[in-house]
Amino acid sequence: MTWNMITGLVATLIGAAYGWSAWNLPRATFGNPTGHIVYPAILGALMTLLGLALVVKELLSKSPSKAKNSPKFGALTRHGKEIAIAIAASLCYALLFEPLGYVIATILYLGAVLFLVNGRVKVARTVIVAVAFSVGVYVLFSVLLGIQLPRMPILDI
Amino acid sequence: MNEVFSQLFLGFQVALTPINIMWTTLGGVLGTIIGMLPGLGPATGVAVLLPLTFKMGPVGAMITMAGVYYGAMFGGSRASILLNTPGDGAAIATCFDGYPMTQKGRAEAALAMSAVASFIGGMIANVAMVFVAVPVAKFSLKFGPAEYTLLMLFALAATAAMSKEKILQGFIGMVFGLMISTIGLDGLTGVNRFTFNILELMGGIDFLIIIIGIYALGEVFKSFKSVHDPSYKMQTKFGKITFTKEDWKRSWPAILRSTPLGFFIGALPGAGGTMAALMAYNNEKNLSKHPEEFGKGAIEGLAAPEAANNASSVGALIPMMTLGIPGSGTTAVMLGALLMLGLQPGPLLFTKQPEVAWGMIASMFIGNFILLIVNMPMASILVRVLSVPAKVLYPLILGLAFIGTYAITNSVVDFFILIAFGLIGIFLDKAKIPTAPLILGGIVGSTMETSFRQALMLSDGSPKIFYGSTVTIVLIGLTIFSIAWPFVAGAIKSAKRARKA
Repeated sequence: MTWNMITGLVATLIGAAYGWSAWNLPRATFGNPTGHIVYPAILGALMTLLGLALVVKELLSKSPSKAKNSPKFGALTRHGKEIAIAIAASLCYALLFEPLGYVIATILYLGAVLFLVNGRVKVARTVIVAVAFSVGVYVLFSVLLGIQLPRMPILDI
Repeated sequence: MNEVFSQLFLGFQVALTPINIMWTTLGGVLGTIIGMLPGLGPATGVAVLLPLTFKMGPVGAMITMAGVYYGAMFGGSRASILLNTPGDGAAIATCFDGYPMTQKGRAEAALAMSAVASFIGGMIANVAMVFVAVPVAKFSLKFGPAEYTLLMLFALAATAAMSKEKILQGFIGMVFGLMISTIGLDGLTGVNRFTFNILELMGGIDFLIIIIGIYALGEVFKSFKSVHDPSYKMQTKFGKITFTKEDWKRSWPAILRSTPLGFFIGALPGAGGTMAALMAYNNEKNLSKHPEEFGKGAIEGLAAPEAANNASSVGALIPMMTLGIPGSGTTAVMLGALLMLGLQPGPLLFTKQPEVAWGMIASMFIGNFILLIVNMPMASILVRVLSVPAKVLYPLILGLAFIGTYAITNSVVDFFILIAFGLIGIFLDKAKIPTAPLILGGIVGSTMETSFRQALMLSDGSPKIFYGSTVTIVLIGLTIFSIAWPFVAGAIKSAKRARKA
């Protein structure tokens, strides 16, 4: 299973599902009844064809470097693990953004990501950067640019 | 002709106000810094700095974003020369001779020459833009919806077909972008499309969030891999940043040849700064009397791509400003930002809001002077940014991505879309699907669908409107040509090789 094969299959799937749901959209009650359907239906068909073409091209190709162009499953590499942790941290950040307010949530999030890439060395730098960034951005946005960010609970600043 | 000068004069009146000079400087310097950082280019720069432009008003926003764009072209070469790592794609060709110059102890000359070549390339291209922009805009006023649909299709196809090996992947990305733009409530019929009954999707997905997801989150996640590399060993002490008379004598013809080339390539959809710079480099190598010096520190091999990529960044603004159709990832981001500010780039921009269009053009003249100063006498201060560890910088870009998203929509729901597209960005990279066609498709998608449907309404549903006039046939021809060209060129090349053998 090469990356191209996966891309082709995913594209075929998306194209078919998208085209099919476009075709089954409710007809419009006013205006042109199928005006909103023709264009997405074309896109769905096109995507399906492109996906199939890539699958066929991949089946026909006899490139010897298939292993190199295939994803490796199993244990995550260090890089993969770090990405997974960073994404998990990002999801937590999204969930905590409003309950904790911008400043606290951002200090926690940046602190986590900085700690992730810097490790136990220079923890002081991690803390200073995270706090300075969060407070700085908060001041910049809410005071200078007038964009309201979620405020801190209890203290309400 | 007088009209052009009076408009340009108006533009300078706008651009020379203290606040706009400040935005020009800010945009240019931030662009230079972002351009310097390996992995981050002008598209990321514009996307991340977007929230800063909200309160500036259209003129300030436009000036700042343009500054980021050409500033990144100045900055990209710094890392190429000092670290042999291009700061952005357009600076790849600058590594070829820039880094050997540093190894020979001529970093000062390389830094100075790249700044001067960038300056000249940018300035000449600006002059060209002054004269080209209005005629193009006037010509495109004659375009109807069918012509517009085809013009967008041409821009998209040319971008997707940029690489012969990845042509299918390019088109898959393009159609995916177009699909995303159809999500939401359809304005003409009131039908919800592809919303899966999720209330938040009814308004559609804001494409700027997708851009930030792919260009900021995705890029940072990807660079986690390189973040642990032992920090670069970089020259930090410099002599006077200048070059010799001999250097100048070798470089100026290369600069003058590469500028029009870069400008033209930049204005074409699809091809961008990277291609312009590589073509300029190869062109100089072929013309040179000592091609053997190329790759070993020939200064004209550094000057040519630097002039070309700056000229191409100006050229790329032309289709975006005059037609409302971006030809590259960065201009697509700019277009998205302008639409959000309530501006409609296109032919009418020049007549309805001349202060925006001409203010930006005039600011680019001023910006080039500012950046010449920033990148020559002050270069040794500025390149210290490169010694700030990536381990600190890249997490902060994640922080900026989230705050940017929140500033655009004021909704935490979009954070999840942002994260999802960060992941999609990683997948696109692994699957070698180019991002530019996807972004372009997403940005022009809804305009394209509207034009498509308007055309069909005008013709009572007959598709003949898409091939009935000369302009449409020319556009169809161009589209087919842009898809077929990579294959034809490949065939010609192998035929030539066969004959030689």
